[in-house]
Amino acid sequence: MKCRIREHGAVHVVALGGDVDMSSSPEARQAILQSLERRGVLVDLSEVEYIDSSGVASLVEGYQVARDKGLKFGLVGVSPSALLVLQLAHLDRVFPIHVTVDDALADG
Amino acid sequence: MKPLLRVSVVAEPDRLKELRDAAREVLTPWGCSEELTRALVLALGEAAMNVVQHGFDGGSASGEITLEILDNSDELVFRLSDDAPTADPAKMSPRDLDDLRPGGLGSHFMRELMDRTAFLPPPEGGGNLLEMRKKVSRS
Repeated sequence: MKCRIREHGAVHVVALGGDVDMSSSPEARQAILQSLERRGVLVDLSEVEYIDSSGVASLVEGYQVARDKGLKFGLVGVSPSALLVLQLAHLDRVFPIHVTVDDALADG
Repeated sequence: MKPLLRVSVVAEPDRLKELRDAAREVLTPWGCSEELTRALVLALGEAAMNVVQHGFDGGSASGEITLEILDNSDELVFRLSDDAPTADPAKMSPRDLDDLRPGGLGSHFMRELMDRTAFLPPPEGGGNLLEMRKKVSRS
Protein backbone atom coordinates (compact mmCIF):
# COMPACT_ATOMS: atom_id res chain seq x y z
CA MET A 1 0.00 0.00 0.00
CA LYS A 2 1.09 3.53 -0.70
CA CYS A 3 0.26 6.19 1.89
CA ARG A 4 1.16 9.85 1.50
CA ILE A 5 0.09 12.76 3.68
CA ARG A 6 0.18 16.38 2.54
CA GLU A 7 -1.24 19.66 3.71
CA HIS A 8 -3.76 21.33 1.45
CA GLY A 9 -5.21 24.56 2.79
CA ALA A 10 -7.07 23.83 6.00
CA VAL A 11 -6.95 20.04 5.70
CA HIS A 12 -4.61 17.09 5.48
CA VAL A 13 -4.96 14.97 2.38
CA VAL A 14 -4.21 11.30 3.08
CA ALA A 15 -3.64 9.63 -0.30
CA LEU A 16 -3.92 5.85 -0.23
CA GLY A 17 -2.92 3.62 -3.14
CA GLY A 18 -2.52 -0.02 -4.08
CA ASP A 19 -4.07 -2.64 -1.82
CA VAL A 20 -5.59 -1.51 1.48
CA ASP A 21 -6.10 -4.85 3.19
CA MET A 22 -5.63 -6.60 6.50
CA SER A 23 -1.85 -6.16 6.38
CA SER A 24 -1.85 -2.46 5.48
CA SER A 25 -5.04 -1.03 6.99
CA PRO A 26 -3.38 -0.42 10.40
CA GLU A 27 -0.98 1.99 8.61
CA ALA A 28 -3.91 3.69 6.85
CA ARG A 29 -5.78 3.98 10.16
CA GLN A 30 -2.76 5.50 11.89
CA ALA A 31 -2.21 8.02 9.06
CA ILE A 32 -5.86 9.12 9.16
CA LEU A 33 -6.07 9.39 12.96
CA GLN A 34 -2.73 11.21 13.28
CA SER A 35 -3.75 13.63 10.57
CA LEU A 36 -6.98 14.31 12.45
CA GLU A 37 -5.08 15.43 15.54
CA ARG A 38 -4.69 18.95 14.20
CA ARG A 39 -7.02 19.46 11.23
CA GLY A 40 -9.67 17.92 9.03
CA VAL A 41 -8.87 15.09 6.64
CA LEU A 42 -9.73 14.22 3.07
CA VAL A 43 -8.83 10.66 2.10
CA ASP A 44 -7.83 10.38 -1.57
CA LEU A 45 -8.80 6.92 -2.84
CA SER A 46 -8.06 7.50 -6.53
CA GLU A 47 -5.12 5.09 -6.62
CA VAL A 48 -6.70 2.34 -4.53
CA GLU A 49 -6.71 -0.92 -6.47
CA TYR A 50 -8.23 -3.04 -3.69
CA ILE A 51 -9.80 -2.19 -0.36
CA ASP A 52 -11.63 -4.58 1.92
CA SER A 53 -13.69 -4.35 5.10
CA SER A 54 -10.57 -3.78 7.20
CA GLY A 55 -9.68 -0.71 5.10
CA VAL A 56 -13.25 0.53 5.31
CA ALA A 57 -13.11 0.15 9.09
CA SER A 58 -10.23 2.69 9.12
CA LEU A 59 -12.38 5.13 7.16
CA VAL A 60 -15.34 4.63 9.53
CA GLU A 61 -13.10 5.27 12.52
CA GLY A 62 -11.71 8.43 10.93
CA TYR A 63 -15.22 9.64 10.15
CA GLN A 64 -16.34 9.10 13.74
CA VAL A 65 -13.29 10.79 15.28
CA ALA A 66 -13.68 13.79 12.95
CA ARG A 67 -17.39 14.05 13.78
CA ASP A 68 -16.65 13.97 17.53
CA LYS A 69 -14.01 16.70 17.15
CA GLY A 70 -16.08 18.81 14.78
CA LEU A 71 -13.49 18.44 12.00
CA LYS A 72 -13.96 17.98 8.29
CA PHE A 73 -13.77 14.43 6.91
CA GLY A 74 -14.44 13.28 3.38
CA LEU A 75 -13.39 11.03 0.54
CA VAL A 76 -12.10 12.21 -2.83
CA GLY A 77 -11.35 10.52 -6.15
CA VAL A 78 -13.04 7.26 -5.15
CA SER A 79 -11.71 4.46 -7.41
CA PRO A 80 -14.07 1.76 -8.79
CA SER A 81 -12.75 -0.78 -6.24
CA ALA A 82 -13.32 1.62 -3.37
CA LEU A 83 -16.78 2.58 -4.62
CA LEU A 84 -17.83 -1.08 -4.78
CA VAL A 85 -16.97 -1.57 -1.10
CA LEU A 86 -18.55 1.70 0.02
CA GLN A 87 -21.78 0.87 -1.82
CA LEU A 88 -21.91 -2.65 -0.37
CA ALA A 89 -21.52 -1.22 3.13
CA HIS A 90 -24.04 1.57 2.35
CA LEU A 91 -21.30 4.02 3.34
CA ASP A 92 -21.65 5.98 0.09
CA ARG A 93 -24.71 7.46 1.86
CA VAL A 94 -22.71 8.32 4.98
CA PHE A 95 -19.33 9.72 3.87
CA PRO A 96 -19.12 13.02 2.03
CA ILE A 97 -17.68 12.02 -1.39
CA HIS A 98 -16.12 14.50 -3.82
CA VAL A 99 -14.40 14.24 -7.17
CA THR A 100 -11.37 16.34 -6.22
CA VAL A 101 -9.80 17.93 -3.15
CA ASP A 102 -10.71 21.38 -4.45
CA ASP A 103 -14.35 20.33 -4.83
CA ALA A 104 -14.36 19.10 -1.24
CA LEU A 105 -12.88 22.37 0.04
CA ALA A 106 -15.29 24.46 -2.02
CA ASP A 107 -18.14 22.51 -0.41
CA GLY A 108 -17.17 24.03 2.95
CA MET B 1 -16.28 -29.37 -12.93
CA LYS B 2 -13.16 -28.11 -14.62
CA PRO B 3 -10.40 -26.86 -12.31
CA LEU B 4 -9.22 -23.34 -13.14
CA LEU B 5 -6.93 -22.65 -10.20
CA ARG B 6 -5.49 -24.22 -7.09
CA VAL B 7 -3.18 -22.07 -4.99
CA SER B 8 -2.01 -22.30 -1.38
CA VAL B 9 -0.43 -19.62 0.80
CA VAL B 10 0.74 -19.37 4.38
CA ALA B 11 -2.13 -17.98 6.47
CA GLU B 12 -0.61 -14.56 7.20
CA PRO B 13 -2.03 -11.10 6.47
CA ASP B 14 0.68 -10.07 4.02
CA ARG B 15 0.27 -13.25 1.95
CA LEU B 16 -3.40 -12.72 1.09
CA LYS B 17 -2.56 -10.49 -1.87
CA GLU B 18 -1.03 -13.56 -3.57
CA LEU B 19 -4.38 -15.36 -3.37
CA ARG B 20 -6.26 -12.37 -4.73
CA ASP B 21 -3.78 -11.79 -7.56
CA ALA B 22 -3.89 -15.47 -8.53
CA ALA B 23 -7.71 -15.37 -8.66
CA ARG B 24 -7.69 -12.16 -10.71
CA GLU B 25 -5.25 -13.66 -13.22
CA VAL B 26 -7.65 -16.56 -13.84
CA LEU B 27 -11.05 -14.81 -13.71
CA THR B 28 -10.61 -12.07 -16.29
CA PRO B 29 -9.07 -14.31 -19.01
CA TRP B 30 -11.81 -16.88 -18.28
CA GLY B 31 -14.43 -14.32 -19.28
CA CYS B 32 -15.44 -12.35 -16.20
CA SER B 33 -15.91 -8.64 -16.79
CA GLU B 34 -13.58 -6.28 -14.96
CA GLU B 35 -16.44 -5.34 -12.64
CA LEU B 36 -17.34 -8.94 -11.84
CA THR B 37 -13.69 -9.87 -11.28
CA ARG B 38 -13.42 -7.00 -8.81
CA ALA B 39 -16.50 -8.22 -6.93
CA LEU B 40 -15.43 -11.88 -6.84
CA VAL B 41 -11.90 -11.02 -5.73
CA LEU B 42 -13.34 -8.90 -2.91
CA ALA B 43 -15.51 -11.79 -1.71
CA LEU B 44 -12.53 -14.16 -1.83
CA GLY B 45 -10.33 -11.63 -0.05
CA GLU B 46 -12.89 -11.22 2.72
CA ALA B 47 -13.24 -14.96 3.14
CA ALA B 48 -9.46 -15.43 3.32
CA MET B 49 -9.13 -12.56 5.78
CA ASN B 50 -11.75 -14.19 8.01
CA VAL B 51 -9.67 -17.37 8.05
CA VAL B 52 -6.50 -15.53 9.09
CA GLN B 53 -8.33 -13.38 11.67
CA HIS B 54 -10.48 -16.01 13.32
CA GLY B 55 -8.84 -19.31 12.39
CA PHE B 56 -5.21 -18.36 12.85
CA ASP B 57 -5.38 -15.55 15.46
CA GLY B 58 -4.57 -12.83 12.97
CA GLY B 59 -1.64 -14.77 11.54
CA SER B 60 0.13 -15.58 14.80
CA ALA B 61 -0.86 -19.27 14.57
CA SER B 62 0.73 -21.17 11.71
CA GLY B 63 -1.25 -22.74 8.91
CA GLU B 64 -2.14 -22.67 5.26
CA ILE B 65 -5.06 -21.50 3.13
CA THR B 66 -5.89 -23.12 -0.20
CA LEU B 67 -8.10 -21.56 -2.85
CA GLU B 68 -9.63 -23.61 -5.64
CA ILE B 69 -11.66 -22.15 -8.49
CA LEU B 70 -13.76 -24.53 -10.57
CA ASP B 71 -15.63 -23.96 -13.83
CA ASN B 72 -19.11 -25.51 -13.50
CA SER B 73 -20.42 -24.49 -16.93
CA ASP B 74 -22.55 -21.39 -16.22
CA GLU B 75 -21.30 -21.10 -12.66
CA LEU B 76 -18.00 -20.51 -10.90
CA VAL B 77 -17.31 -22.48 -7.74
CA PHE B 78 -14.81 -21.20 -5.18
CA ARG B 79 -13.52 -23.43 -2.41
CA LEU B 80 -11.41 -22.04 0.39
CA SER B 81 -9.93 -24.62 2.73
CA ASP B 82 -7.67 -24.32 5.74
CA ASP B 83 -6.25 -26.37 8.56
CA ALA B 84 -7.41 -24.07 11.37
CA PRO B 85 -9.65 -25.36 14.18
CA THR B 86 -13.13 -26.02 12.79
CA ALA B 87 -15.22 -22.83 13.07
CA ASP B 88 -18.84 -22.42 14.12
CA PRO B 89 -20.66 -20.80 11.16
CA ALA B 90 -23.38 -19.53 13.52
CA LYS B 91 -20.85 -17.07 14.93
CA MET B 92 -20.20 -15.50 11.53
CA SER B 93 -23.48 -13.72 10.87
CA PRO B 94 -23.21 -10.24 9.32
CA ARG B 95 -24.00 -7.17 11.39
CA ASP B 96 -26.74 -4.61 10.80
CA LEU B 97 -25.46 -2.01 8.31
CA ASP B 98 -27.27 0.78 10.13
CA ASP B 99 -25.02 0.15 13.11
CA LEU B 100 -22.16 2.44 12.03
CA ARG B 101 -18.98 1.07 13.55
CA PRO B 102 -15.64 -0.22 12.30
CA GLY B 103 -15.57 -3.93 11.45
CA GLY B 104 -18.04 -6.75 10.97
CA LEU B 105 -18.72 -6.20 7.27
CA GLY B 106 -16.82 -9.11 5.70
CA SER B 107 -19.60 -11.71 5.95
CA HIS B 108 -22.09 -9.21 4.55
CA PHE B 109 -19.86 -8.56 1.50
CA MET B 110 -19.46 -12.30 0.82
CA ARG B 111 -23.20 -12.91 0.93
CA GLU B 112 -23.98 -9.89 -1.22
CA LEU B 113 -21.40 -10.73 -3.89
CA MET B 114 -21.91 -14.49 -4.19
CA ASP B 115 -25.08 -16.46 -4.95
CA ARG B 116 -24.36 -19.07 -2.31
CA THR B 117 -21.96 -19.28 0.60
CA ALA B 118 -21.81 -22.41 2.73
CA PHE B 119 -19.47 -24.33 4.95
CA LEU B 120 -19.13 -27.89 3.68
CA PRO B 121 -18.28 -30.76 6.03
CA PRO B 122 -14.64 -30.20 7.01
CA PRO B 123 -12.01 -32.39 5.40
CA GLU B 124 -10.88 -35.47 7.30
CA GLY B 125 -8.45 -34.40 9.98
CA GLY B 126 -10.26 -31.13 10.73
CA GLY B 127 -10.01 -27.66 9.29
CA ASN B 128 -12.65 -25.77 7.35
CA LEU B 129 -14.03 -25.82 3.82
CA LEU B 130 -15.98 -22.81 2.63
CA GLU B 131 -17.72 -23.03 -0.73
CA MET B 132 -19.04 -20.02 -2.62
CA ARG B 133 -20.87 -20.15 -5.94
CA LYS B 134 -21.68 -17.50 -8.52
CA LYS B 135 -23.68 -17.81 -11.75
CA VAL B 136 -21.69 -16.12 -14.47
CA SER B 137 -22.33 -15.13 -18.06
CA ARG B 138 -19.00 -14.72 -19.80
CA SER B 139 -18.33 -11.35 -21.40
